[in-house]
Amino acid sequence: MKKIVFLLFGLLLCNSLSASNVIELVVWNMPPDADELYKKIWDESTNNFQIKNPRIKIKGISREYKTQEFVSVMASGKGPDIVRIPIVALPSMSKYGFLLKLDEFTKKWIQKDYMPAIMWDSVNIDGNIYGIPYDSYFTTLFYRKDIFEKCGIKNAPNTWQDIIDISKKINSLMPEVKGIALPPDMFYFIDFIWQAGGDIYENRKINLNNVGVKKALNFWHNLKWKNKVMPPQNILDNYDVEQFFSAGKIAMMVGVAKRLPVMARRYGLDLKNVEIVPLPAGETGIKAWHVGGEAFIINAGITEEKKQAAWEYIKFILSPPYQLWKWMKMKELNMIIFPGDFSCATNLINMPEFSKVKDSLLYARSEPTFYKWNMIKEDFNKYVLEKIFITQNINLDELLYNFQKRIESEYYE
Amino acid sequence: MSDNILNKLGGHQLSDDAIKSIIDEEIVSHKKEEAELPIIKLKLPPKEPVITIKKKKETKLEETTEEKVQIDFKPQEPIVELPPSIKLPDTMTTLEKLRAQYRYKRFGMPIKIIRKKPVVEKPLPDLKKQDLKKLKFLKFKKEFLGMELLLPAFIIFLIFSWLPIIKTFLISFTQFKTIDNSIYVGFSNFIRIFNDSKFWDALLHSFSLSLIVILIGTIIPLFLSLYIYEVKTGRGILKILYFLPFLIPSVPAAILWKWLYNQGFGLINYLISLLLPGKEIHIGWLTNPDLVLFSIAFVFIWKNIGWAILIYLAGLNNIPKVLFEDTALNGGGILTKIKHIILPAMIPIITIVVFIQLINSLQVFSEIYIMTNGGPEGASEVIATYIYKKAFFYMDIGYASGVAVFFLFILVSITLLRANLQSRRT
Repeated sequence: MKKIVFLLFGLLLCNSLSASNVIELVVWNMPPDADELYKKIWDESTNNFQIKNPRIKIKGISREYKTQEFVSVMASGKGPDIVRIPIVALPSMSKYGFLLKLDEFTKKWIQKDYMPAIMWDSVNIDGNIYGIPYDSYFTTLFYRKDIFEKCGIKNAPNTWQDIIDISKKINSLMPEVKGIALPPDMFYFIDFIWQAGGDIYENRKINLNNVGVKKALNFWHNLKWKNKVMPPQNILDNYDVEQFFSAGKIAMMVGVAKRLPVMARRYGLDLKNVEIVPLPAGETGIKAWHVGGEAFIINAGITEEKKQAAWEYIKFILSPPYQLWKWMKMKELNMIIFPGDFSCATNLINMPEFSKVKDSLLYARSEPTFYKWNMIKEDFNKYVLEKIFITQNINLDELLYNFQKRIESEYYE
Repeated sequence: MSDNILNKLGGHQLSDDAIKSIIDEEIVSHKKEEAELPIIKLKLPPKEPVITIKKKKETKLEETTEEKVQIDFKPQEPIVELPPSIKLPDTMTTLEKLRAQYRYKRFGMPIKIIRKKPVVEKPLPDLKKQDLKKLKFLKFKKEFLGMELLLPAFIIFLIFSWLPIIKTFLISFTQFKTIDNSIYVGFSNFIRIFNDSKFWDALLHSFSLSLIVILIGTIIPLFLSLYIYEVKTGRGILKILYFLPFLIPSVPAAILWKWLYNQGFGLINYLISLLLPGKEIHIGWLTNPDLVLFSIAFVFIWKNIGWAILIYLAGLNNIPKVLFEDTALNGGGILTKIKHIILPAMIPIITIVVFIQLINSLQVFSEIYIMTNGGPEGASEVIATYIYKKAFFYMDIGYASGVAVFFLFILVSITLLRANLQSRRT
């Protein structure tokens, strides 16, 4: 009897010792079971990583970043060890101490110099790196090839004026179809500000009362009220726009390629009918769009050992061999490959699939990394962009002046 | 007497003999407590109280005639005083004194004075130590049984209801630099509220929404409940039909209504355009700042109409039917019934519905978050969405907690007002 007890005790001790050697990393963003193919790739890549790093065990959780959830779970101290969050969320999350500074890791990272400077800019907050870009997406213009063909339009719009002309032509030939729909969202509007030659972030201060902003605002207002090329709804959210585009009620929309599979799954969009082109240039011929996507972050509240393990995992996922394996696997599984789906820290940008957007990085810009930017954006959407879509007769100078005054009193004093 | 016996028994399991002996002792101890007084007969019994009914002038209403009666109650003639030899002891209650007086004067019955003697604690019959322990335990168990049963629920209530409130209250005095670094700022979050124009806008929108909900959401269910009360067949089906929206979760209901309200392709605008052929109708139910609160209020009323009807029906069922029958016999119509019977009887119920609608509509969140997210131009930003955005979007957790506490005080004041009104009425 004694022997059995000793044996059991010994086994338990061995088990606990071996368990203490294994570091378990909790990683969000695991694809849901419904996304069978993506889930398959995740499972295989996780297995490959665990074989190479037997001391590290990955515990995947199928959960996407949502501000409230993320803040709550991080504040409770039970946040994930690694998670991908939108690049635009980095400033506020780093401000509240959720994110680990990654400068020490990136200094020694061999792939560091492969990454375009613009991508590093978007994760650099006050001189510190808080995230590693996972994918890189640009705002682009989607258009419906079938509608363009029906209307005999051969070229995609290159300028703002082209958008108006093409939209009018489409609407005259197909009265039930409108040219373009734009949601009152600074995420898309900021590209138009840059295209109009304006900028909004100087000396760590947001200035939205300038000529560029006014020109862009005037263009959007005219699309709605003067040229009447937008749907009758005053305010459309992103989902409305995606649905209208999928249903063929609008011919063009501004978006990121990453949304296309979602639109295909949710609204039955036939991807064969969609073409992706860079955003048209502004009045002065300036091409500009902004870079987005997600970045890997590491929880600042975990142990040193876990931080190191988390960095190993990120390095593995962003490594050229893994990215190439993923590309081959996606081909093998007949999955649709979108530009931006792969890390810009690799040479995969030279693959033939990405030829159309290869030069996009040259014109790409990043949003301000000022932590109150998200709040100002929200206010701008609500008090300026919604206003121009609701009110036909409006004084844009006065609107911008009042808004600037408001943000200065609320966010700078 | 029985109380004394029970006290002595103390709920213990005693033998039959022990109980019998205690009862016998009690009977003997009370026998001499009654003192008989001399019988004095009165000359004449007092007159019966006279009640006369005077008919007032008949006043003719539009359709019905009502008889108003006034009852003149003549007070009883003065009671003959008791002879000075008879003094009623102070130990008697006023009611006992009056009864004794009446019996004495009316029937010449003797006045029995019951002198309450201090109850002498009798020693318990000999019990074994084990039995005593058992008895003590049983007594303790009997006294604390309710608490035992309540404790788990109380703890859960404390953790999930009061702890967050206390925590929010504490956070409202702080400002977060980072998530694990907060500083005490005293009342500055509360002072900030008074200078925050967005907060006052949101509060105004909340109360405007509540006003619409109260005005429409109290009256329509009342009439619908009257209809259901009067209808003879299909009452159950009607109740279910009206109650169904209440069972739909807020999120799908809000998504559904968002599509119905869609400015370009929504069903509501389509139906209106059918009524006005040749015209394209694109009313911005959710995108027009002047309309948005009405649209949201309508969804709220639609969703909550079921329970309001049920509460009203419960109130209507409590009104004695004989009143309706009387009114009907006297030729009273539905308006008379509503004005003179239903409304007076239903005022407490209406008050309850008004206050519940007020509190619920002040707390509305999911409908607004999904349908408009506070837009357009912040026209539907209410307190709940404002707190949410301040906490999780603007990351101003200390201030958001301050606003939440301030708002809690407003809600508590409303609840106390309701309780005060109800207690005054009762």
